Amino acid sequence: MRVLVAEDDALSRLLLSSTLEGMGHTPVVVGDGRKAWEAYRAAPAPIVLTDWIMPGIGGLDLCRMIRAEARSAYTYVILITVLEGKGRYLEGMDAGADDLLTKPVDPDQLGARLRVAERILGLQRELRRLEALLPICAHCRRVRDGDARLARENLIARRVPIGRGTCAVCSGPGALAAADAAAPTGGRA
Amino acid sequence: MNWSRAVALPAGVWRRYVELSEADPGLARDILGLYLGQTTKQLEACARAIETGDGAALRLSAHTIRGASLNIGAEAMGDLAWRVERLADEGALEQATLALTTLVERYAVLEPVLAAFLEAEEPCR
Repeated sequence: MRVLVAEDDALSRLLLSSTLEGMGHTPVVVGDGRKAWEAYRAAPAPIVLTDWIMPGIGGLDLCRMIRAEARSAYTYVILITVLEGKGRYLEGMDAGADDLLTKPVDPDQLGARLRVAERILGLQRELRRLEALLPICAHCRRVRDGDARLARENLIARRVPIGRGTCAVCSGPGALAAADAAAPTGGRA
Repeated sequence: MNWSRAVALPAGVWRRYVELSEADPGLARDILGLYLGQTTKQLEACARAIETGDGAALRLSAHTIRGASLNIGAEAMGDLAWRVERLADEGALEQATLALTTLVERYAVLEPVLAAFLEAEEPCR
């Protein structure tokens, strides 16, 4: 998976990129928050690993900027810091980070956190896939058009028993006529 | 492995070196080499920041030294750098200057040990 790494310390950059490559990921490594933001805008990475304190745009600001960006795909952000304590953790989470790692980064811990990130990103993708499936007609399995909602409301008004998500064709004029004829009161509500 | 040189290394640095070597022998050497080069420059940047009274720059350089020191297992250096960083953050530049002196002294002990270790250590191929 592509991982954007924002870290001003060359030594940490080398360690992180080497560790990530060893895990089979593709690190995109930059030296400060501004370059990270530019790289993210140019090609958003699904996972961002960012140092907390950097010159210019720090990790917290970068995190807030990523969260403010309207994107359909979720970005999993992990903050890396030598700063410790509950307050720092909460500050990071409030800025929109998903996780926090302390330096020196333990490769096993990093690997575990990235597996969690991949799981969450996978669930996000699945959720979007399922959302995309919702407009499919329950009867003909075709994608419903914009009239489907209106057609369904007409059927409901005529007390026609329908499944959820019927398309305009399946609940079209023919269906309405059949419903009207079958209804004991003439069909009209 | 040159064990006589290794013995001189601080325990934390040695542990970290072994840990990194197990993952990638070349990487461990590169990391130590990089540490020597960049820490010298960062200490110079700290001294410049104090001269110009730039607390933010002092904090950032001390922070980098701290992170890098922890990355190589040099915990004492990391702790001393943390002190400078904290004092710079508080705007106590006079105290930060004293703390920086201690940090420089500590590095003056560590630097030749690391350099000698790297020189004696055969690059792994």
